[in-house]
Amino acid sequence: MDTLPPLVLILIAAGKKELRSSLIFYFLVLQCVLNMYANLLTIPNTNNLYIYHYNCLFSFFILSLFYIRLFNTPNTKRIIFGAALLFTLLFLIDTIYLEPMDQFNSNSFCLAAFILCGYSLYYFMRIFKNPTGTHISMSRDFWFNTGIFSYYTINFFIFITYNKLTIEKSPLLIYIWQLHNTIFLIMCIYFYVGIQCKTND
Amino acid sequence: MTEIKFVLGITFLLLLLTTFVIVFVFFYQKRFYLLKKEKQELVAKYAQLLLQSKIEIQEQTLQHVGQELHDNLGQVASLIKINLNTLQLEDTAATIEKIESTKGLTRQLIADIKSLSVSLGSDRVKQAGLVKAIEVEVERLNKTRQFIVTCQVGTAIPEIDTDKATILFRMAQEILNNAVKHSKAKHISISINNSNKLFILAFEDDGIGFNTEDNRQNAGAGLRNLSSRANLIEAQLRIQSLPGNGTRATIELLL
Repeated sequence: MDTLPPLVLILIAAGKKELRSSLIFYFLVLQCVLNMYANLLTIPNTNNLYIYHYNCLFSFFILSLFYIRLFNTPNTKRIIFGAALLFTLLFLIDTIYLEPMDQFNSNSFCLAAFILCGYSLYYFMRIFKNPTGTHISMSRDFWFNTGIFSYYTINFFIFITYNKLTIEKSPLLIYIWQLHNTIFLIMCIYFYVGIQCKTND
Repeated sequence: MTEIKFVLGITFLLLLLTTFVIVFVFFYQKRFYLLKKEKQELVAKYAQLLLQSKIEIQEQTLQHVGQELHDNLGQVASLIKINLNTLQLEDTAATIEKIESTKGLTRQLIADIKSLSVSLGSDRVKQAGLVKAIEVEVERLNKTRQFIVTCQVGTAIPEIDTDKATILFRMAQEILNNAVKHSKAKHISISINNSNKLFILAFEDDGIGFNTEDNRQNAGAGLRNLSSRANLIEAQLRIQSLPGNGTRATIELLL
């Protein structure tokens, strides 16, 4: 459920020249590859949680770059760079001292989700302040941002508690992750709508 | 178990919250987009009407020039030609008289050409201003000798935005044309006043008048044009008339 939707989107986006260099395209490739690898690791019952450390870090970097391009002002560029630097530092501290590679990195995911929610809300706020001349439903960036906003906001509490639940080996853990995957699917649906749009603004 | 229920509950709440935010942003932007589109259409309509008014003013001017050339300048030039053709050089006194008369006619011809060239200006409302343009129009109508048109201009008439002035002038032309064509009036009076930032342009004639109610129901293109022009510059147009009692049209524009 977390591999097939991005794969389908990659195949669709690959057919559109302007999307092949898009950061969302790279994000989908990353998700597809890492999720597929994580799923493969579960077959011999190997711990795959270290994959999510990479997933969290690289996804955050790609999406930060996406927002740098989206906002495109020197100030936001500085803020996003600063936030990425701070995030990297906290990510390292978290991985070294709090949640090692064999555990789910709840703290890092939460922090990433919090920052990315901030960026996506700022995008919405910009729409309020300076509404675009084109209809929003035609805007690729709107749908991409909506996908990111939905995924990171709705999953926030799942990210917060997931490490604790894995340590406790909760029997309902699989349902929680299924719920996460459903929200991931919702993000992919929003991305699909965005990919079908013709304009960025 | 309780913890998982809590996570599920919060996640569900977040789902609702994000859905609300997305729907709200979507509809807000959609509403703004529609408003903007409406505004753009209005601006385009305004520009179109302005252009149409300018073209109509030019058409009216050309018609007036054609009429002037035929009825006035052509006649004067013919008189000059006749005078020169019928000169009898042996009769000195008559020759002097004819030359003097020809001089007078030539002066009149030059003056008429000058006044005509003024009215030929491509954007006379912009160049001369609304009041002057209306006064020229009054002069033109008076020259036909079919009506007595008077124009009373109040004090401290402010400058009006050129685009609005062009549309107001075209409305004035339309009202005067209606009076000339349909009212059978002998006297037409125009008053231009300004009171408390309210520009008032009023027209009154002593013609046959009409039933405004009937006319509103079967409003002709002329009246519809007047109304739409007034709406576009946010002016108030009032037409009062009764059969046999003349017509009064007032345009009020808040400055």
